Amino acid sequence: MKLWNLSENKKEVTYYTEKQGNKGERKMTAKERLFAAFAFEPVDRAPAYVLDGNAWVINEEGINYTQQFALPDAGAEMITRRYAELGSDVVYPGSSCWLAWANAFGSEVNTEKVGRTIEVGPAISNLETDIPEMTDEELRETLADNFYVKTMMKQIRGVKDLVGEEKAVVVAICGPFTAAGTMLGTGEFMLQIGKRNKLVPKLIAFTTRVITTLTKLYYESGADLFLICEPTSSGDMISPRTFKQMVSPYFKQFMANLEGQIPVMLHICGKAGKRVDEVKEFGVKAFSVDSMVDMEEMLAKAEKKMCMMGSLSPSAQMLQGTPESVMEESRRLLELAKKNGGGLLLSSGCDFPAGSPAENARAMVKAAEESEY
Amino acid sequence: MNFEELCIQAKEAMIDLDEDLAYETLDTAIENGENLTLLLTQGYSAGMQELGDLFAEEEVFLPDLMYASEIMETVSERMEKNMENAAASIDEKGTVVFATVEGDVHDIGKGICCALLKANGFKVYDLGKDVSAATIVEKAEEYNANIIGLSALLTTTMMVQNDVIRLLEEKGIREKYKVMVGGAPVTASWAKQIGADGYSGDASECVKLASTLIA
Repeated sequence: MKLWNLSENKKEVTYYTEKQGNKGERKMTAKERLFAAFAFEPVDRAPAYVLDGNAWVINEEGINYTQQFALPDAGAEMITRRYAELGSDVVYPGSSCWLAWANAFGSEVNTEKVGRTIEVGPAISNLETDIPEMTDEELRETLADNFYVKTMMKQIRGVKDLVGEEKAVVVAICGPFTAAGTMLGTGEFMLQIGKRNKLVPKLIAFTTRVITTLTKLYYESGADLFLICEPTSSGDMISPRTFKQMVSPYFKQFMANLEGQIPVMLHICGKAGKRVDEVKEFGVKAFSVDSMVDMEEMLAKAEKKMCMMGSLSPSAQMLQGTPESVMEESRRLLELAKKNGGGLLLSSGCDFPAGSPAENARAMVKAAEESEY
Repeated sequence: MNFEELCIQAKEAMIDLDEDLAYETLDTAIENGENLTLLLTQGYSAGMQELGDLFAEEEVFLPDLMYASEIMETVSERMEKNMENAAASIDEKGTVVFATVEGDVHDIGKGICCALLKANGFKVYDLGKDVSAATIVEKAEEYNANIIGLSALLTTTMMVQNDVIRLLEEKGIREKYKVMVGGAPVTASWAKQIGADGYSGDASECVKLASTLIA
């Protein structure tokens, strides 16, 4: 059994465990476990990761994001406490604002809905005239001055203060391609790709710089690791050709901009299986996929160049499932990882939905604790 | 160019996403006094249907379908200006009201579903995004719909699909409608759990499902 003890000043967190590591060695911290798994080094057990549970957090608290952001610590304690309740190896600040940085360029942001995700409108409407022209310094200043970015930096710092080196502080931001869709509105973005508009690459080049800058700002605030989300690049939405032309080069540029200094994972929703051959060349630590993707095939195709992450169904397992069904599916995935010689971060496939029983997340963690891979 | 050739050209313009050719073909048909309803069904809609099939086969993707939908919409608008009682003259399979449910602003997939349903002979009322259960039911009644299509792209909003079905039950009109659900987090088991009549994983399946439900 694991317990988190948040001291009164919220600054110190103590991690207790009754169970020793499987090999009788010192129990790894959750963060050590995660980074050892990335390196395909021995771990005391499989890492278990609650992916994007922030809508779940505010739903449990019965508040909206406006209220969370107004808290003195911007919700850091709340997020840390709730993730501890779920038993996750990571804490996940900032994910509520994975798109809200676009407010710095004019997007309207709605944080008023209780228990619901944040809505972000388009920032620009005309590719000819509206793509911002900024130096790197201006870009950094624009982002760092934005309310939502500042709030997330505060939230990340607060979570880092609470968990220290025990757990990995993971922050989600959208990737360059999805960011371009956010700037223009995803529907319009898809339409302009369909029309072969030659200015689309210019927009993605701009958002590559935006996401690079944002990643660096959050890293400086205490993030250990990033989950870059590219749902718009899913196989449900764009062709392999478009992925090759408009996702891969910019993602590689983003990774090059980080100069190997900041660890990154990539999440692609839906039909992401066909992306694996390209993704494994990106230099990411892990590739997070949904439940419809064949994990056995993905683990093999990843060739230990990166870990795979997933892939319990958010709706069928986390929301509607039972601890028993979650355990069963988790064991199945862990068995695949065992055969593969590791390389799996056990996780929900896309998010941990609002309203999901906490017992289901804990069942996933329990399955990982009992694993021997 | 005779009518048959115009139909072939209209179909090819859609498949090739050749916007200029699509409009030129229509202009020629109008000049020649051709039957625009037949041109729509045998030319443009046939092309759109084929794109839908190619989408199912993962040969065509969302950007192409969205562009095709835009061309199709412009063609339909121009046609309506050039023929009386255009809507009434088309033999429709059934009427669908389609919405992205309340709290959810994702409407790309729903838009593609609507475009393909129209191309396949359904009369479709696209209610838009973030639509309340009460409005969906009210509009289904107003338009005398056969099918209610409900899209949800978030795990936080798929519950509203359930709300719509419960509201239909409360009003005692559940049996009047076939309810189909879809969206990224939605599964066949969720559809069954909430008592929906069907689930589709993408726009192409949606057309097949609607055709089955209406049969």
